[in-house]
Amino acid sequence: MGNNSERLYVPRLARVAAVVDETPTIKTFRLAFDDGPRPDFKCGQFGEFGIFGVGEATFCFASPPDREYLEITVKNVGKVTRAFHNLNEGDVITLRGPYGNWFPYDDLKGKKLLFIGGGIGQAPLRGLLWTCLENRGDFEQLDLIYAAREECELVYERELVEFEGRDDLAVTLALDPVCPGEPIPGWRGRTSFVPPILEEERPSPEDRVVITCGPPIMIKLVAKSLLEKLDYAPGQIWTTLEMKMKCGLGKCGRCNIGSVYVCKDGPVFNYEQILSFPKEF
Amino acid sequence: MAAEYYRLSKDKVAELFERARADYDVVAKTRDANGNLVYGRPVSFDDVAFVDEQPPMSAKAFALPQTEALVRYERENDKIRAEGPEAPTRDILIFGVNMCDATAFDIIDRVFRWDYLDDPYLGRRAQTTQFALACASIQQDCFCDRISYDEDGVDAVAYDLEGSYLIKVQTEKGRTLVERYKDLFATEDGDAESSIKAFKEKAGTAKKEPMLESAKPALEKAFEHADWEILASTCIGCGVCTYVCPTCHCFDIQDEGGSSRGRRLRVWDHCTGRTFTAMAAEQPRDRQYKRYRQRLLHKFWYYPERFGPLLCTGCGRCITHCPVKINIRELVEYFGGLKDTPPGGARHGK
Repeated sequence: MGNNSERLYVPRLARVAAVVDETPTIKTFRLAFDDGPRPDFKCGQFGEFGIFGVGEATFCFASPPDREYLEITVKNVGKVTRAFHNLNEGDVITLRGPYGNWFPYDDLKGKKLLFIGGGIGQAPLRGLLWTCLENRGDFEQLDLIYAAREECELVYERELVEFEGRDDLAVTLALDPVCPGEPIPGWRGRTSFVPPILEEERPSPEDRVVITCGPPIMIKLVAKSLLEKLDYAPGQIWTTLEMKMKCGLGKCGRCNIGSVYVCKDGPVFNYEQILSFPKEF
Repeated sequence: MAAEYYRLSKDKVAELFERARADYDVVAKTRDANGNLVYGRPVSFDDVAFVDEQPPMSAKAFALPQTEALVRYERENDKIRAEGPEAPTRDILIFGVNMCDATAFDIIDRVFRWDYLDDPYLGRRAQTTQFALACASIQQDCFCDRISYDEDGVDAVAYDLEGSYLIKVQTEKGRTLVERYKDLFATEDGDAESSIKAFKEKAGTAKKEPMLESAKPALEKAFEHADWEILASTCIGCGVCTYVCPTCHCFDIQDEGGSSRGRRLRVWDHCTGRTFTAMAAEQPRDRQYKRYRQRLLHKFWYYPERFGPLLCTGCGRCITHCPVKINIRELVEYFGGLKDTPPGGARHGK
């Protein structure tokens, strides 16, 4: 009982150790495990997290794999996420996983990495970004472009401030322009969608890999810009896809794009693979 | 194991059923209170419909119940206890199961045993023996003659050769069944495979070209075909095709109960429904034809690509029971390049 390898759907129980209000609609939960070590995972993997009586939902592991703690970041958008937002310290949640594949860290070594996050899409990038920073010598250059609709929707604000103070990571923050070209009063970053920033800064494709996650429309437009305007090859772009999932195990038939199960073959995909998918999205 | 062949005299079938009830939880076709044919648990052979007529619902629920508890949880003092499902206590024998339902188990097995082993499903499957009755004639909307997948994986099959049944045993579970009631079975001396071939020719279930497997290369190029919208938009997303289908296995996981006591359930779900892939931020399949296209392509392209056979046994139930008369076979033939003209049947029935 309780062993995931034998009883596939029986979750582990975790305790909410801390809650951080990231934005009016997003919270980060730090989880503790009283029944043994926390699950081991790799950057990019996800789990099925739940609350008994409410149900399960899919969240990525949002903390770096080498930390003692485990964190998830949850946006309040539906039944399960609303229940998460009502959790207090000490409350018990359920967890199955880790599931899915991960970012190919070893293949990224020696490259210049450009992270592009949008809104809560920063969550699956966060663990990898921290891992890269902690092993800074593995990478020639690290850049981050992080965009959100509004200032209050930037997650991990405390870390962004820390990032901005580092000299080994170049950070560009951007908010959606309400009126294109008009700066937002008091805002320290850019007022722009991501593609115009890319087309202005023109990060060279030489030895560079782009790792992006955000709303589907952002991923599409970022890729389009990189491929068509900046001469990137599809293989230089990695992203992590969101699809509705229930089992996370390649059984429930919900997350497929063509014959690919996002839960098993992903969620991390190279853009070359994505271009080979049926044009479902 | 190599196939073995036996004879079962027709007057021994009732005895086989009655004696099997001592060793198995026996499922067989029977008439419900309304006279509908269903897979049920008749207690006497008098109530068994040992006929090849196809019941509206397949037998898949005996391996994949419409609703099952994956987890039971209970709060005791300050602790929550969570347990997995209990394994079935008795072996199940599906007595006289239609071939299109019997073969479906092996097809669903491939999903539930690749990579992660789905213990609730596989536990039941390990305890299920199929004793199939081959159809003596092809039925209204059936097209198993157009699908190459045949008796693969079926434990034992009975062919009605007039005076007696020829029994083909293909697995250890099938052999156990025969061994247990050995005195009821005679050894088969003749050329059994020739007899089976002749039986299928006469029944109309012998394979006929072009097989629907051959549609896959063209389907792979037809994803963006403009006619999906015309031919599949009649779908109303009711999901009946998936519920009657012996191979549709997609499911949802939902909690039932409160925070202190309840069950986490697996329930059948269907890809033709509006909410199947709806997420907070977007709905990838935002039109009904896209949801129908997913069902067809899952069966005839995506599943075969990963697992080999088609995700279809040709039972034809989805055609029979579709309230708007969508005919999956005709659509596969059209989008799969086996027929040049679009089916009028998509809008107007067969």
